[in-house]
Amino acid sequence: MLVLRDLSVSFRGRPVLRNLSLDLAPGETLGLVGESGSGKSMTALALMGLLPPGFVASGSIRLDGHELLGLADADLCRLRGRAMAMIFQEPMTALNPVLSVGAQIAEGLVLHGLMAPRAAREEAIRLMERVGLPDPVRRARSYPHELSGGQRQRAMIAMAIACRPALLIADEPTSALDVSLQVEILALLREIRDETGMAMIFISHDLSVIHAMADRALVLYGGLAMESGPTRHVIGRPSHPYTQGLMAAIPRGNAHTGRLRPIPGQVPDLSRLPPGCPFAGRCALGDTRCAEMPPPLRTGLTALHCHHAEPAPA
Amino acid sequence: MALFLIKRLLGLVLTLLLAALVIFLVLEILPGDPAAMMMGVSATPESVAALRAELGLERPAAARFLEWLGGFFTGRLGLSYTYRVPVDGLIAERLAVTVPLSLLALGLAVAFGVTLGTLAAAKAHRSADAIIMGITQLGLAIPNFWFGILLVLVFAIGLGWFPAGGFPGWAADPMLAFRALLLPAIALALPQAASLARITRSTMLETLSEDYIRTARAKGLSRSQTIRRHALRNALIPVLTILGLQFSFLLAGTIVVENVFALPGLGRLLIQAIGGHDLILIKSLVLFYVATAIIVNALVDLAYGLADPRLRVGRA
Repeated sequence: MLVLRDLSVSFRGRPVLRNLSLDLAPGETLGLVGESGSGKSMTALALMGLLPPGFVASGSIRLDGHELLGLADADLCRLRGRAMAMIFQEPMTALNPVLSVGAQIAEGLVLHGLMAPRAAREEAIRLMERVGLPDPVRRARSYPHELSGGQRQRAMIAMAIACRPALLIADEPTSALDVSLQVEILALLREIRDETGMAMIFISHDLSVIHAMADRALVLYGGLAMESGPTRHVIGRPSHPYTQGLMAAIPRGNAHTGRLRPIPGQVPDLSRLPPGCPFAGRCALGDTRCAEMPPPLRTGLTALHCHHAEPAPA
Repeated sequence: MALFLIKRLLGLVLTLLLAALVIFLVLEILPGDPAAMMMGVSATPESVAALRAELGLERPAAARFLEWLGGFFTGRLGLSYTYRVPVDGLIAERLAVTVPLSLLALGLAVAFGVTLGTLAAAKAHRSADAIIMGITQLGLAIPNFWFGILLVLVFAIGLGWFPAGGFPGWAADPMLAFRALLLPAIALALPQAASLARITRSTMLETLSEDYIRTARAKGLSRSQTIRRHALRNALIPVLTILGLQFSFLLAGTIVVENVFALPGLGRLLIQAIGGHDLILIKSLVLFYVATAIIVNALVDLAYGLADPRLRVGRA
């Protein structure tokens, strides 16, 4: 249902996302993994057509066969919130402080012509109950500052699923929450996904969260897809040096037995990425060819962009 | 909430008392005989003494102060020295001009200021923005008495659409009275609208970069729907503060503009009272101005709670 081909995003001529291609089927969840600045959020915003001023997207984004890139804002408005919806990272700031929670949830339903205002208000209460907000009738009249962080994120989810979108993009939905709340919110998202059969793009820097949520994973670094494939292969048998480095850097249960192994070096400045592989400078296998030539795509058990590493055979 | 209101009210009363005390001290207690000051240099000692007796200046200051304050509640503020009529009636009569004039100016300033400021923010860094900001810069720089004269020259004398000055009163023809107030209201509103537009633009720009604006867009609202439904109310909360402060400038502006347009309002009365050394009238008028400014600012404080649910105290 969602097909991305060679999606690139640039800011003042500098690429921040390079030639991203991916496919997503209904009911499927894709995990986008990467450090901050790897291009995860830019991918999400490009999909929604909400890139900040100055950012330009090229390539192709097709949702149910319709090309989204180049659509007028008025046409995108009909799709946003209806065909595709998004949950943001910061529940504290993503809700309007002067409107009641119920009104904000009901708004999309009325906007997209699905319900009359009165029915939408009742549906909002039903949705709040569905996402596990206690006392929804009273909570619907509450303002965001009267809700806790976890409750606000639940309200945010209710808002996003209100119009039953076919695609839900969740941009680090649990990163700002306590660990115990994270587990609850992840379980809720899984439940809702399985109930509605919507496709999901789940963005996180946390591999364990991706492991819990995603059927397939795509690892981004410096705006380029490093490795992608079924989550269990990407995380269980990574072939790309960057993915391997990420896995090695995860603290193990028996942490006393060894030191953490961080990836040496710093994340490259997105404004001065090398023309070749963005990981070249930090990679053990990196050479001059890596820095100068974009890495080729190799496919096997996973798909990866690398001059040196080969994926395990499928 | 009740405690908050009581505290606020107490502060208000204290401020008013203090203001009244300062006015009273300056006008009646400081060196110099008020009676002699009112009658001028040519007065005979006998007539000064007679006026002192009429004003009750021989009585203790504290008694006179309390009596004066009480007058604001009973309406007995004494006889104006120059007009020889009760001060309270004089003020009431002039309010029929100044209140509609101020409200009209305030309405114009808010309507134009907020609209233009929002428009400028929506078109930030484009030509429409530059033009609006240029106009507001001009609006801030032009003194309103000069702008008033310009309006009279063009619309009253040149085109003859409006009267050049004076006020026919509400009784005969309300429409005519309204027309007499329109040019002065525009002159009064210009600098207010200009600064409101600039403030609205900056608070609106700040609001438009908030996360919840992106949430609203992700819901499918268009840019203008987002501004109207989600940004405007948030952007206007800080504007409200400025509006309260600006009201004092608006009141001060009425004094100037009423004189330019020869409107029989409170401001003109004040100038005439000062010209006639009418201390009795001056002190009540000045306190009236001060009280209006203080009370309006207190009302603005209360209005925050309506605009911003985060400031509503004592709610579950």
